[in-house]
Amino acid sequence: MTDLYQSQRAMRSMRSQAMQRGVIAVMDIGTHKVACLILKFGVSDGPREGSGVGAMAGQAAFRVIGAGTTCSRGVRFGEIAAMRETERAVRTALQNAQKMAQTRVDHAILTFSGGDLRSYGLEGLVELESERVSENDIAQVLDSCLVPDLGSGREVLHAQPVNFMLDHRSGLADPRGQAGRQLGCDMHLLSVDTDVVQNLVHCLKRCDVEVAGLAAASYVAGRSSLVEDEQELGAAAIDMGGGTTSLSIFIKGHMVFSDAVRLGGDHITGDIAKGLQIPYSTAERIKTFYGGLHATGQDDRQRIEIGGDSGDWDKDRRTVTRSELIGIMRPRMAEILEEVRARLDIAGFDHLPSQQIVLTGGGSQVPGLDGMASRILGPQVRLGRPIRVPGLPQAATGPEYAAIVGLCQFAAHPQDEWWDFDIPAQRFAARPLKRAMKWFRDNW
Amino acid sequence: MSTVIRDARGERVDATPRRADTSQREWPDRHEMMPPPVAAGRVLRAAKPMPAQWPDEMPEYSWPPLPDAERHARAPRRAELPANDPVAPPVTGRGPVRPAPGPARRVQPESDLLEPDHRAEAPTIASLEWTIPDAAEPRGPVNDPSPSRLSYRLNRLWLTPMVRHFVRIGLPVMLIAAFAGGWFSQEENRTALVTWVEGVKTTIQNQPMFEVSSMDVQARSPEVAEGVAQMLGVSFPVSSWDLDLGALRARAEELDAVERAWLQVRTGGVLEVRVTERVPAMVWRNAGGLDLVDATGHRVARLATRAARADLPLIAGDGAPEAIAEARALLASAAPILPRIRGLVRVGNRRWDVVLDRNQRIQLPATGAVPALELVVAMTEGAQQLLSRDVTVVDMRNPDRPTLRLTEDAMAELTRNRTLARGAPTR
Repeated sequence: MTDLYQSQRAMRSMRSQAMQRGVIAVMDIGTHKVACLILKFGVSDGPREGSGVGAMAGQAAFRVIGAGTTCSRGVRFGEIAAMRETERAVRTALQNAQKMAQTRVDHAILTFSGGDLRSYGLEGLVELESERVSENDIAQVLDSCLVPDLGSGREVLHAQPVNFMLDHRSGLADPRGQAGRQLGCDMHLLSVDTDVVQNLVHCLKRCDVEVAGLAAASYVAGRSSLVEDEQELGAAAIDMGGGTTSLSIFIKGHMVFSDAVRLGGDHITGDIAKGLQIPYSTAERIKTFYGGLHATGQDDRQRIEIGGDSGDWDKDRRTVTRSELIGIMRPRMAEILEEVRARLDIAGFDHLPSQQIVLTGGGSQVPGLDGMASRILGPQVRLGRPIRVPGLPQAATGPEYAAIVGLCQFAAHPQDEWWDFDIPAQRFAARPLKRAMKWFRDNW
Repeated sequence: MSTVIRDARGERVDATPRRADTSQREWPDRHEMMPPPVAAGRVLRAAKPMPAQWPDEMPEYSWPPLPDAERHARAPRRAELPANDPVAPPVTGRGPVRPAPGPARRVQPESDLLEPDHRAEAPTIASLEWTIPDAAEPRGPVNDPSPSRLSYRLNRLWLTPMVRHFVRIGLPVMLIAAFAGGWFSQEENRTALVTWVEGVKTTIQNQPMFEVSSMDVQARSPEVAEGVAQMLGVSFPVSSWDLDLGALRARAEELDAVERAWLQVRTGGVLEVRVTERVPAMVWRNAGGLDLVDATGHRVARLATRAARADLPLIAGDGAPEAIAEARALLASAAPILPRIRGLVRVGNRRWDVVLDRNQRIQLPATGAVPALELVVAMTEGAQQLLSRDVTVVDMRNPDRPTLRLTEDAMAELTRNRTLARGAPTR
């Protein structure tokens, strides 16, 4: 746990260093695409006072100066399956973004959706030493949270204090300076497979880029596609990616649950390819152009030339109706949504006051998805697109870029995590020598 | 897969059936919103293919008949076939050639109706060559868009600001500096450069527009003008680049008679010199003779005789020109006795004596000379008639105690008078 604490702190300091130098890359290594944005910090001081524009969650602090997207290779279910191939894809995306930005980047913040995310809710409770809550008390209460057994080979990806309780009062966002006797906290902990993360870090290291932060795709996609009141009142963001469909539940501005279904748009494409006996790329193309989930009479008449490269005249001139295509896509999409429904039920989404569901990610662009999702998931469904950030190319404003746009926000305006607080003082007291060393390091 | 149809001479025949090009249709359609048809997944609007356009429908004979050249081109002779061209079995008979499958089935039919005899000697031969270009092309690895590790690293290196600036600015500057330094380190190169520069300079300076050929000195008196011209000593013609007007002016002003000189190279190659002469204000008698001095005490010229400038007052003594301002003030205040004044003498470079005719002399103090002289003038002008009397020297050196020196006769007379007045016996 302390190793993780140290490594996360190292990443955070690296991030702040990179942001002081002004340029940092954010990367989304997905199953379908690898995207990279290069952010420049310190371009403006934000909106003028009294201009009617708010702080915009720190977005005004940066500007996107480079973007590169490439077809992902060697990634399955959001995890690296072929390191060399993934490295090539990452290199392509990075180089394109660097060319556009006309600068090199040495630090990247990474998001990914694989690694078998597991979500835990932790509780901690301490008696206050003084009559008011201090920073040290916060650190202590975070430290007092009982961490469950994560399992072997698993690590903490996010550990965010969600709620603070002071005596009988709950729902405090910032208890510092308040009077009380007992301080409690709820913490949301997201664990991830260590090897998956190690592979990603190694892959970026092979591209001469240091990883300056990690974030789960479900979390950052939720941050970018849920509007502020949805994050406050409670909502679920469903990021329908290529290999995984990840979901995150937000309430009171914090993520309280996250999970991922290992099914995605690539499976739909695979179904089409198998069902129509066509190459994968053609299936992707047909899905993108003519896909749908709700067949109408018009679709029976509309024929799609599916082609082929066999040399057989008859095979190369096959056509299907759009209804057939929809007939292939629909059950798979229903399966994905039902899996998501099951995960939401496990999380107890039904008990939240607001049950807004936001579909985002590349898979959410299938026409008719909102109708189908409202039947399976619940009535309050909308399709979400990421918020606008300055300098983002028009091509990167679609829902498939929800995760990476959220990652920009994550870089510019991170929420508190457990490792942002110092280790409580009494832990140091046990190691006076180390403490003395720290004093020397800090002061010399 | 595509089909290449060649005619008997091995030239390609455009065999693609022409259809209405559905990919170019205007979109959005008026009737329904459809994405534009694309090559891979093209939408067909009708179940049966579009009716072929005129190439398929064209009759085997054409009307009006084809021109001869065209006809021969379409019906080549067997003799012209290349030897090694793979030839399909000759297709003879009426009607268009119909290759079994595939879209390319158009072969120019022979027209036996129009040219029966011609057909007999040169039957149309269509060679059908079925190639599969995709299979024929080497199936290498798919074009990889990703940069190689080396190119990626080089790209990153190039995007490093310091490297970039070094290559774009530092390196060219260093190269140029190195080449220039190497060239200049050779002695003969340096001398050659200097020689060349001097040559160019001389050539430019010797252009006719810079030539100065005469001098025009404008002075009040011709003597001064001639003196200035001699003093400048410029030998014409000369380039205006070689004329140092400042030095020339200083040289012209070295002449005592010249107060100020003003030089200009005028158009037409004339060096114009305008001279302001000094105006003589007094005559100074010194050990060397008589000199004219101007109002500031500067020497103007030598004077042969005092009579030549009898109109000017005379001063004498060492350091007299330096105190000429005081001398002028004294002369101004001595206006009533001016006709009697012979001149002013500077004594000991300290004070003035006013010398009058009848060997009279007024000795003035070093400071406050003008009031002292005014006092004497007042005593002269008043009832006392001081200077009309038998006085040799009026000594005002101590203004509080003016002293008179009388002539001997006057002294004797004074003594006699006093004795008489006292009643004492005269000796």
